[in-house]
Amino acid sequence: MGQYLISIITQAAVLSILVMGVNVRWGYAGELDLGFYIYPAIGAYVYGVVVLPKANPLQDVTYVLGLHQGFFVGILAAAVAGGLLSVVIGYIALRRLRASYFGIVTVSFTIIAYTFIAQYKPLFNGYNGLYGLPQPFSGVLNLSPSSFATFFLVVSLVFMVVIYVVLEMIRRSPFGLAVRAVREDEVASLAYGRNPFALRLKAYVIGGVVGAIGGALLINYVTAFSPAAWSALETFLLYGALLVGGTGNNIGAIVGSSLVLVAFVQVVAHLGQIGSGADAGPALENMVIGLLIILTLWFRPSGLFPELQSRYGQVRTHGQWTFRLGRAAKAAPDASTADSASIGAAASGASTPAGSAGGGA
Amino acid sequence: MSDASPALTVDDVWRSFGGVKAVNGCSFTVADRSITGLVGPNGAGKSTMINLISGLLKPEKGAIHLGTKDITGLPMNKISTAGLIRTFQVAREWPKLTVLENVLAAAPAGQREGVWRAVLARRSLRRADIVLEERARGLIDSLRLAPVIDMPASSLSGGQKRLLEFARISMVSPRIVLLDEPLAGVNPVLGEQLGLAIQALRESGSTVLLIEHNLGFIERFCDTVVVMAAGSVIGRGSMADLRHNPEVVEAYLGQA
Amino acid sequence: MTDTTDTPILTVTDLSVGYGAAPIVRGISFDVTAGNINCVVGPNGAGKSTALKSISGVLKPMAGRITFDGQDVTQLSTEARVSRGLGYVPQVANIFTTLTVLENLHVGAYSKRHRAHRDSTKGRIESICELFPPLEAALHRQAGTLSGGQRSMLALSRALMGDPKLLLLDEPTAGLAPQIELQVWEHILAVQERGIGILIIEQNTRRALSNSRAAYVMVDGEIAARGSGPELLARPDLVEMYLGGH
Repeated sequence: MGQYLISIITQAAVLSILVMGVNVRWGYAGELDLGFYIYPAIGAYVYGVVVLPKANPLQDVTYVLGLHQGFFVGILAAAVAGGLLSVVIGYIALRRLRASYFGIVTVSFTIIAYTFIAQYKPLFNGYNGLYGLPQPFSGVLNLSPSSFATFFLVVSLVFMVVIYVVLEMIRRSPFGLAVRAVREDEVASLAYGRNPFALRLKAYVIGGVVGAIGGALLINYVTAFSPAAWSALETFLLYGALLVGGTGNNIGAIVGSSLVLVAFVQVVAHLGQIGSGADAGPALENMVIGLLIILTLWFRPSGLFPELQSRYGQVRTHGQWTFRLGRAAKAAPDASTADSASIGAAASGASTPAGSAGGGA
Repeated sequence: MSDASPALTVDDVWRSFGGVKAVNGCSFTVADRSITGLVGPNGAGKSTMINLISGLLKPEKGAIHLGTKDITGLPMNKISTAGLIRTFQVAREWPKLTVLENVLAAAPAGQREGVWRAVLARRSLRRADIVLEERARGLIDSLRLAPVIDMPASSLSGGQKRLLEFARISMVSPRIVLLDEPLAGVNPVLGEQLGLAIQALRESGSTVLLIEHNLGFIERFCDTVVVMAAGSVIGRGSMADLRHNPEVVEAYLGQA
Repeated sequence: MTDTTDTPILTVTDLSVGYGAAPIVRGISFDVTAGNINCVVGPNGAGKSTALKSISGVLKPMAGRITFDGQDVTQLSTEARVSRGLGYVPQVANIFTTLTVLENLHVGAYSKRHRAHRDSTKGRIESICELFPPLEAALHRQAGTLSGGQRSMLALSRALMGDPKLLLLDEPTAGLAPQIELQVWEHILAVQERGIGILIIEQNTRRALSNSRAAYVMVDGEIAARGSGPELLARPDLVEMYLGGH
């Protein structure tokens, strides 16, 4: 039982990271990227080929690199790969400011990548994929499999918490506010000097990096990764988790993935054998998950934890995260008199006009 | 009038849509720190002109200058950072953002909106954030929006959204503000408030170009008025002058 | 045509219309007699279009009553009003550009789709072709290929297919070149000569007033002046109603 719990909580932590990656794109920037799963996939593959030793052709296994590096190098490589891929795809997909164009380009790319990776064996060993990953830190730590499972659970939780903190800081920052504004009304953002393309692209890249890190952790959890592990359905499930948990909200991402991707799945698995045939199990699983998602959204359309509306609170956030003592001086302005002349007085507190020939955002 | 160069110069600007000349050979200047009205009957091309000046549309011919800077054909965000802010006929707030967030998001980006800065901000930059937030709260108070400061902007009434626009404009302290029919759908009491807010903008150093159909409001608050009809300027001066301008009268009453 | 009686065919009583809390049209009352051209003019934002939309049924009024041909139509849908003889030509989207001229006319006759009226459709099409020969020549052309003047002819004709007693026209000359404007007025006069009443909202105040038997100037949601068109045209304070000042 203990092992079972450790396993599913680890799974929840890792999948939460993936859903948080989706949230950066969809929740922060309003980008509906239905090809998202390419990023966890790339993260998993790159981690794999960096951490595995050179491919052994005698075993009919071929892949690039094979640098036999350690855990952190692998994670870093995965993050960089995710970032670079995001820059390339994002630049193409976000050029035309139309959601339909973006949707088609991103999905198309993922389909092309999937097919190429599956067919072109020398890259990531084609359909068989990568497997037999060395245990992280195996040289340094000598842990029994069950102890390692606990250790990896802690590692995953740490990653999840760190990513959560960083993403929250980003969301509450001026950058995060600008990205959300672009999502709300792009023309208004233009009218106030922002460059929607640049802001969307930055959010897109952050999402890709987070997704890739999640993928690198995922391949550790499963110790293998192949095209069978990723299909269109996977991305939809991530969105389902986010919708149920609450779009735009990282807590929602964590809760949603725990609920949809882990709890619902486990509930279905334990319902026992219903119906005959080997395919009945997975088919039923998907049906039930879909039904549970629909039911949750029926009763709570904004998800369980809707986007936090209030508190830009960036100043206070910095106070929290850095444990600084002493509140920032937030003097509440004196209640203005009922005299409408006060409009003039307060507004002229704004000083000299911005007439400089500044460059664009 | 001061001798300073005009805040805005429109020079022989042309723009058509599929054969229809919406703006043809339109020229006028807006004096620095003035409140200038831009009026004219329906279809005169006023909105097109505002879109051309603010960068939503590109002129086919002609030039537009903000002070001494040539802004012809620049994209909208570059014109905005150069010091020109415009509003829209229907208020464009950021709906799910709160009132406070709306005002903060309008402030010029400057150095504050980098990604790394979000995670590793220097102390001086954080102090700048605090100052900015205080200024935002001050503006929100002065426009009597404090009761709704943490509400999403979509829940505001039409009048409140107009006031929110003024708060956002004041955060920028622009060289010139283009107001596109700010009184549309606004009751007379709020109209008064908006008129005072416009004067306050001028007090703080901005120039105002105001498009409106409510000629009484124009007469009250504008130093001078430019009249457009059929895509070009047909008159300029005070409302009293313009009433006696036969071309202007014909533009409004039509040809018999 | 014999001279029309003075019984109003349309009566508007204390009509208030708005989109939100505050009304844009603030309690106006007037009537329209049959067979004449009546116009409503006034500066921008006065509420003319809003008033017309509630008379045609597009907008529900906040208060007041609309009586047409002896019947209270205030709560009726546009379609119900059209089938009772209150035709409507909106400012935009008033023809189907992908259908032919003939098909557009048939659509206009939809409210008369019952057997008893079906035979009269053919007759009505013939009579419209008599009234507007250029349409006859273009019967099988796609409406989107028509010129501005022809389109306005078609929009009017489509409404005529419903056999109206009164036609509501919402700024039919908006955005049209001056020569086309003249043509449109010719069409309107031709329609009125057949005995069909017209209530028109117009941008070109002077032309509308000079052609109208009865006219109303709306300012700020209220009727600031009423009389015959030529009377109002001659008033010295007409300019003031548009440009302000005393």
